[in-house]
Amino acid sequence: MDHSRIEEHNLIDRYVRGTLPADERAAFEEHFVDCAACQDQIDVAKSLRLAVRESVAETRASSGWRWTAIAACACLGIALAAGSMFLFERQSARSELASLRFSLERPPVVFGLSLSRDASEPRTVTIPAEPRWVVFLAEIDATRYSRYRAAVVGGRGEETWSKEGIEANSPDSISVPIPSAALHPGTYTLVVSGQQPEGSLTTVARFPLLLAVP
Amino acid sequence: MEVAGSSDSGLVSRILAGERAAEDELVRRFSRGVSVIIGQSLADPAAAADVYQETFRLVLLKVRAGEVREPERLAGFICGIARSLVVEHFRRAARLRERHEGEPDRQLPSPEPNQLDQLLRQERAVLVRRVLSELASDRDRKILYRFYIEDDEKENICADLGISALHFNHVISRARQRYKKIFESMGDASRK
Repeated sequence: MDHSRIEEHNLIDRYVRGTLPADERAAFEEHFVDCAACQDQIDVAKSLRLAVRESVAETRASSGWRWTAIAACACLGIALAAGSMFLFERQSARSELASLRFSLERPPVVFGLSLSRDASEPRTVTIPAEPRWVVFLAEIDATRYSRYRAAVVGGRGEETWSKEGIEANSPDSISVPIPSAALHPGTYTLVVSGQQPEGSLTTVARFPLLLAVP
Repeated sequence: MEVAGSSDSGLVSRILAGERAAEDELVRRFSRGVSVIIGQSLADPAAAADVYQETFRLVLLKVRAGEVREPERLAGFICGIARSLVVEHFRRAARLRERHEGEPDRQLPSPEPNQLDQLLRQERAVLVRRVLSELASDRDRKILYRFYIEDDEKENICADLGISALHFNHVISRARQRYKKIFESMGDASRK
């Protein structure tokens, strides 16, 4: 599938609107799953569509008018000045939430950890430069406990991050999502423990990690 | 440009040979695309994250086990697994709803947008107002309105407004580009 065909047949917008037939959708997904340019276009099309809808809904709600297409467009244009001012007023609030926003918007980075392969030698993990979730998919026997605790432990036994109450994804794995901001370069161990109902912990796996910066 | 070892079949061969870096590469390469596919059907971020993780867990298991029949179509294989898991998620959710029909749902999330949602929504409103203000004419604004709000088909819009398909594509494409550019400049500003 080439980009001129995608453009010509409006595949980006038809995909976002959910109007592509199943076979076309499958073919387009097979193309864009590995195409950053199309992924960018899809993100933008989704966001623009949502923004136009929200903007009209907001103006409708505040005015109570009965809308026609022309009236909506006109009011959207008029709202520009207020919108531009708002951009600057919200700057500080945005910066506070910026890292959270980016960590939510970017896909997580996933590292698979297997007991047979990663329990003896440290697994090198590059901490993402931008805030995002780092997810460790730890392959363990996850049938013995209903909840698990995971902790990142430093060389002197200090815990730099921990999370309790993690439920298994499947009988043989649990996911440990860690915000990248909580990870620092150095040698650590990801310790996974089973949680007994009364709160006591039993270590079920230890994965040595070598955390590095890009 | 794709190097031989990074082609779909090359990646599968390297994983089969036990190369751990190849598994990381697979996840890195398809991560965002898989997120887009799942996000297209699943609006709930927590459910989408679960399906995303399960997709890569299953993909890696199957690739390691040599279950990819057409290694040169690894991308299609991954998409297929992601779609199946999304369908499975909806089936499971439907079964759960049937089982708990009539019971009070104590964990129903608040329908009110949280602070972050509100902020993002306001941010998008600012962006779209700027984009709309920069469109050349009322006719171009009408195109956006009918396309995004009324969900009109391209052919109908072109026929009603007497414009060519080329002009339509141009307006939509320009709006997207402007929106992206303003969005990126806001992101840069917030990081400073």
